[in-house]
Amino acid sequence: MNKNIAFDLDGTLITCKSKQVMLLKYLASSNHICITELDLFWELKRDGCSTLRALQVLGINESISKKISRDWINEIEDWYWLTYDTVYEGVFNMLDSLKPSNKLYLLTARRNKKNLYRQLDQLGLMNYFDDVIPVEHNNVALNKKDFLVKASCDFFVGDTETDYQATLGTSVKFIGCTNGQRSKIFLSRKGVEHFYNDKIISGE
Amino acid sequence: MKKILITGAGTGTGFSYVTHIKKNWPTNVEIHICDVNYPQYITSSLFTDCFHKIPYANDIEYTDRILEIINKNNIDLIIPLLNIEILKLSIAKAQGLLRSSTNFLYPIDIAAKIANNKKYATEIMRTANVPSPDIWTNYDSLPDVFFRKPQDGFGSINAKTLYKKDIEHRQLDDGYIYQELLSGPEVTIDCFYDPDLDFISTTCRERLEIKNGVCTKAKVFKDISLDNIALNIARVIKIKGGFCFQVMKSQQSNEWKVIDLNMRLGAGTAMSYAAGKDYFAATMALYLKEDYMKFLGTDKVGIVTRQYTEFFINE
Repeated sequence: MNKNIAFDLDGTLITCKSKQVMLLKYLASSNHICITELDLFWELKRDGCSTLRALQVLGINESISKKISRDWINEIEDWYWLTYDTVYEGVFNMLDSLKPSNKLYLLTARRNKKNLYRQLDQLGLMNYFDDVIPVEHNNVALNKKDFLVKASCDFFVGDTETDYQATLGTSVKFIGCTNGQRSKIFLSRKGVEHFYNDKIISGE
Repeated sequence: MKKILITGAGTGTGFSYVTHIKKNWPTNVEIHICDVNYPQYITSSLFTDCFHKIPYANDIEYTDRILEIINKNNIDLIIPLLNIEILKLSIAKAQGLLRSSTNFLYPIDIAAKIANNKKYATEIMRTANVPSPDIWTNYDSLPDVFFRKPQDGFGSINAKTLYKKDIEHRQLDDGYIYQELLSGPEVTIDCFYDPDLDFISTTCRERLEIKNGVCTKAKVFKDISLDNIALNIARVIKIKGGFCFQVMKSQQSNEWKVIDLNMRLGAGTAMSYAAGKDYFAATMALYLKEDYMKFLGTDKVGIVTRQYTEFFINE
C-alpha cells in the first residue's frame, strides 16, 4: 500500500464502445450511409485502426471517411454522446479498496474539461481521485509521462498503446485494460506485459 | 439475430427504445422502425437498420402495410407505441393474419383493451386490488368538479379539470372518462418486471414541469408503496419488461391512486435512465434471455432536467 496510482478514464474506468458506435452510426446516417457492421468497426479499432482507417476498411469512400472522422473528433466529447458512457462493473469496488491507503490520480486526454468534470461528478467518480489531470493533445504520451514522473507514480492503468508509451523509460509499471479501446492481442504486440485483475495492484 | 419493429418512431419514446437497444446490441438486434413521416424527419432513423414509411394508423391501408413489413422482414418482436396500433395489431392477430413467430412483450389482446378503453383499465386494476379513482358514467352522479381525459389518450394531451355546470346538454361524451379529481403531485412510475422471477424494479418521477404532455423536469425517488402497486399491476397485465403508470393522491384518503397505465415505457423514462436505470435495455435483455440486472443499477434520488439535442442530416 501507500502507492501512487494513475488511471486513464475512457476504456479503463468507463466504457467507450457505446458512444463511439452510436456516434459513428449517426454520422454515417447523416451522410446517407447505413453501416450495419458496427461490431466489425469496433474490432478494427481495437486492433489498432484509427476511425478513418476503419471506415475505409468498411468500404466507405475516402472523402466521406475523412468528413466523418473530422466530425467525429469534433463531437465525441459533446455531452449527449458522453451520456452513453457507464462505469465498468467492479470499478467502484476496486477504487473503494485502493482509496484508503493509496493516492489515486485520473490522467486523461479529454479536451473538453467542463464536460469531463461534469461527467466524473455525475458518474460518482470525482471524489475518488486526489487530482484529475487532463493533458494537452500535442503529444499525449509525453504529456502523460511528464505527470507520471512528477507525481512519482508507481502504477499507470490504461487501455491504449499511448498510455503504455507514457510509462516507457520510467519506473512506472503499466497495467493494461483489455475491455476498452484496444484488445489484449494488440497491446501485447506493443509490448504490454501486465494486464488488469484485482490481485496485481493489491498484491504489490 | 433478432429482428424487432418499433412503431411510432418519431416519438420521444421511440427514440429512447431505438438508441438504448442499438447502443447495447449494435449488430445482433436488427432494428426496424416505422412512422408516417419520411426518414429525414425522424431522428430515430439515424440509429436504426431499416426505416418503413407507413400510413396513419386510423387509415384503412394501415393494417395491410404493417403486416407486409412484419411478414416480409420476419419480424420477431413488435413494440407498438401508439394505442390505435396496439388495437389494430390485436385484431390482426385474432384474425390469424400475423406470423405465429412474431411476439409482443405482453398479451396483445389485454394491451389493446387497456390502451383504448380506460374504463377497462380501471376495472382490471380493481381486480388486482390496485387503487384507482372513482369514475362516473352518468351526468347525475357527477360531483361538482371532476377530471376528464380521453379514453385513448397519449400522454396528458386533452386531459383537464372540468365543472359539472359546464357540461353541455347534461350529457357525458363516450370518448372520455370522467373520474374523481385527485391532488398532486403527479408521479410517473417507470417499471421493469420479470414474470419468471416475479421481480420488479421501479423508479418514481414526480413531474415538476410538463411541456406538450411530456415531462421536462422531474424529481426522481423511491417509494415502497408504489413498488407494491407496480408489482400488482405487472402480475395482472402479464407484462415482460418495461411499462409505466401514473398516480396521484386521493383528496379524501391521501392514498395513491393509479390514473393511467401504459404497457410500454414513456418518453420520460429516459429521465430514469439519467438517474441510473436503463429500463429500455433491461426490457431487451429480458427478451433476449440475457442478464438484465446490469441495466438496473442503484436507486438514486435527485432532480432530472431535459434539454433538446440537435441532429443534422445532409440533403
